[in-house]
Amino acid sequence: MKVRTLHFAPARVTPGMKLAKAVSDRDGHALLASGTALDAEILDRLIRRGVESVAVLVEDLRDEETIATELRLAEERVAAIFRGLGSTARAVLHSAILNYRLESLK
Amino acid sequence: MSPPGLDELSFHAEALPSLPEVVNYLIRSLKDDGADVDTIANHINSDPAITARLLAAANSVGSGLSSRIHSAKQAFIVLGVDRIVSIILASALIHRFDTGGSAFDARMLWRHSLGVANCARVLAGQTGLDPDVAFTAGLLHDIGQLLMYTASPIDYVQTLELRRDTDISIVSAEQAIFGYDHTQAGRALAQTWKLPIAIEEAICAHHDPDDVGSEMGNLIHVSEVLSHALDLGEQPNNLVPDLSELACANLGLSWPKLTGHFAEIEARYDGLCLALGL
Repeated sequence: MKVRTLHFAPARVTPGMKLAKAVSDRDGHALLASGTALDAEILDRLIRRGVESVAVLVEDLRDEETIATELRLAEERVAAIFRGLGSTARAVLHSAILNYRLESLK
Repeated sequence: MSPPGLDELSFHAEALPSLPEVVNYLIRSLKDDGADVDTIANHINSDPAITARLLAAANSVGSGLSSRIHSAKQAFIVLGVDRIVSIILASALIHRFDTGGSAFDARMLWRHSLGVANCARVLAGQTGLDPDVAFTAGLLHDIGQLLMYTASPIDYVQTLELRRDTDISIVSAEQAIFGYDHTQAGRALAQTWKLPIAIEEAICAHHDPDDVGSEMGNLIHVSEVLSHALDLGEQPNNLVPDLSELACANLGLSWPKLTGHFAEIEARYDGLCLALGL
């Protein structure tokens, strides 16, 4: 089974999903290890500890054609929002955003 | 009739609803470590509309919780003071300054402001600035647009049309029609409302931080650009503004290093929009 890592707010997580990365609270205290399966009780605890985002493993059901389309659309959107000229700092950010978008869709 | 001058805006500021007392209190108590849960909860309970929205938002954030949240104090204990203060500020501002049904889409403005506030809170954690002040400054950074719209709705709608039709920045369009822009209008409003100086500087500096030279101004400027770059709010004509080299250098930011936080920022933004019904 092919899986990918996605980030969600705890309120968006479906019980049964597994953590792709360890979770810490805002003070840096470790709460849960990578690989932990999230059930309703654990999600309850994360919300109470102020956790606002978790990385989970999700089965990747996309075929090659869908992935290629998503990559092309993402590239076009990034080019559109970064239209026009700007500083070197903006160009560095442009490059970081494009890499991030393409990596997260692969 | 020509648009109102910058010096006339303070008269129009009275037409904007004032900040609710509880929001004023929260902005002032952000840096007060002595503020305890009971005192803050009592202040919130004094405003039934805000209490009702807090409970709705808290139960939405905590949709996985085993029991419903029924009181402001319970919300504080369950979700934590920092998080609740952010929710109350955002919820109160969005509802207080709703221009629903008009040509000016305040909902889109708030979605953008929430995006900037969210980026500011994460970036503050990387730069040693106060994350709660950063969040509030992000929420309020475009408040000058609301003041300009209130002062002269026809001229402001014309400004938005000029921006859309010629693909120029909002600041350039405002300068062309009004002779000043929303950073100046926002500063005037911040002074009228007696907001903390760091927030006033952030409002003033968010498009052109180098002239102001304020740490919070630099942070909100970078957060504004990052929020556009991550497409938070997904405005159809979204354009990433120029980014100040000096602001990035003064904050010590490294984009390749910050890339690891982008997915987290997007997930947090989604959670906040969900909580606030935006």
